[in-house]
Amino acid sequence: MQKKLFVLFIAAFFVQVCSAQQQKDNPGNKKIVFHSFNMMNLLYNTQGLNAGLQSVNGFSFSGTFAGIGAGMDWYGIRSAPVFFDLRQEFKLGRARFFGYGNIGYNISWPGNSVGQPGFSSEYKSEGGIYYDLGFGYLIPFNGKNAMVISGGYSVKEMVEKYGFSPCSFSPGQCPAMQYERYDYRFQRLSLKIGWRF
Amino acid sequence: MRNGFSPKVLAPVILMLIFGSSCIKDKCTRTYTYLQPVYRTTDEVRANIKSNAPVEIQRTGKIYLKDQFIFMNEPDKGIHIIDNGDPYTPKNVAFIDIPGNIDLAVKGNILYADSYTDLVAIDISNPLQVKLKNVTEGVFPHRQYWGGFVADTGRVITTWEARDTVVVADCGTEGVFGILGRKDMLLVNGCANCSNDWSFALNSSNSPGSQAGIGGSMARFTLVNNNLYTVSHSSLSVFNVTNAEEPLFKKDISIGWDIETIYPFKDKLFIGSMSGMYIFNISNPDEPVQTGTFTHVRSCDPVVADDNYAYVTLRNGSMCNGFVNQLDVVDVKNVAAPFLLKSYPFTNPHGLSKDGNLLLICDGKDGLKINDVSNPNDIKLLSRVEMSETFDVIAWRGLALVVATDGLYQYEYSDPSAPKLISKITF
Repeated sequence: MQKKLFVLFIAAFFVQVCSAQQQKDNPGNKKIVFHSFNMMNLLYNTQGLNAGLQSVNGFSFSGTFAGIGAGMDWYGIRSAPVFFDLRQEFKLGRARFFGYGNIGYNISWPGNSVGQPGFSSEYKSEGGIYYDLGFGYLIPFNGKNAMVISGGYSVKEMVEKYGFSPCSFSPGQCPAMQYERYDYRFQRLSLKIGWRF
Repeated sequence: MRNGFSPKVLAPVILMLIFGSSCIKDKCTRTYTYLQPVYRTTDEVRANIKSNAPVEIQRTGKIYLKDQFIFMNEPDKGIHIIDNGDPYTPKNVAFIDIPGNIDLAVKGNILYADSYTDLVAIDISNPLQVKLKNVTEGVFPHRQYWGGFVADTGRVITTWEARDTVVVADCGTEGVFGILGRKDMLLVNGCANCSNDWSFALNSSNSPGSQAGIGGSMARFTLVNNNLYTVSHSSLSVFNVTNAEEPLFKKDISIGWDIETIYPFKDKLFIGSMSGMYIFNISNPDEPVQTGTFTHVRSCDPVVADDNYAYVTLRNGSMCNGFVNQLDVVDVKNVAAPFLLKSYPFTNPHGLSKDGNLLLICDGKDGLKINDVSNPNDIKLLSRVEMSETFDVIAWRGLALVVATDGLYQYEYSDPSAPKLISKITF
């Protein structure tokens, strides 16, 4: 919990700083513009590497973008995060950077084959928190289009529950159902490459 | 950098997030319950095989009907005695502590029950004061524990204590794009559970006889006149019980693997296995002879029979590995060459019981189904009783005793198209 609060604090700080920066750099940019970010996501940590896809859609105003995102995340156990996305653009010289923060719910959508014949006869999965914080770089082309590259830190949580009965032979010949629970917290580095229009 | 947006400030934060190893490592925990055996000495256990105070029924087991009493097994713990003198108000009156008990059968005033590898004979002439009369040791050597657990052979496990545990788990994320990753972990974790200390009984009653009670179709013990027949996972055991208090083990007959149930009819035994039904002739009661076999697809299959037909329910399930759910009607007029007459689809049929032209079938979550089998080529569903998952049924003189996951039900079916619930003991 302390770590979550720390990360949220960093995110809030980051957005505040970026917003001030943007106001100073583009004082006249007051137009609301629709943007869609569509990205492929490489997820890596010291234990594994996997991929994800994301689409974030929303509106930007004065360099600040707010939108709703959804995607697929194959790291560990397949899931579909749905999240609120906040990002702030800023310029360093001619380069256009942005910082972003996502927070939402990781919807469980296991794709693995579950239930081992003879052992696991019940299966249930639950989602959990999802968040992603990071920085990115925009390479504009053809008007409001831009190539997007970003790196960040992403966390998704999930729960799996298995019910085991060695057999369904007949009453009295098998132990009662036994349950076990797995709590997963996947903490990854996230590298996203995509296109904004 | 302006406005304090300095790389010097942010860099350490970013670096900490990125390279702090604990931040980029998956964290997974496994929460489970394991069972720890509670042992008692053999003498202590035998001294406690008596009518103790009634206890709450917790798990569904085998049932046996004898006169006004229902004997119901609580798997691995013992037998509940239920006074069913008034079927409208059955009373749980006593509990016999029999560790390792799965099956039971009754002849006259003697109740036979397994206790792990032993056969116990109990005088039930007064169900409120039953007495242990005899123990035949080691006649069910095939009893074993799930997952390779080896018990202390000098003592008896009377119960299991559950202990909750949380351990760090393998997150299964190793590998690239899931290759050698999670799918392998699922398999490993699945098997890891098998090593819990499960008591798994591979053996374990049933039918009208001169002095016998009535067992369900899921039974693995049955009495015919002066013989007790029991089936294990792979064999048929014969006990002579002419002297009811002292059962005499006669022989073991190897049948095949995955034997499940035994059902007697006249001079025949119908033995259900996962791959077929075996018919034994017991004209010479001490020397059963296999006379016929009916093979079916692999599935769980309780069986009941009459002079002409055997009714076999086939179901799928994690242990049975099958994929069919049906009732097979097998013509057994020629016991040497039984053949399939017709199959009828069901949902997940378990135990069954025949009363005249009525066939009552426990169809899993579909409840109890009462069928007219006057024409086996055209079985008709007369009624369906909705209840929680049903396992076994004994139909006797218009009264159906149904074991379900949540209780022991009694239905009066004088009008089979509209059975009436007359009582229920809730588990």
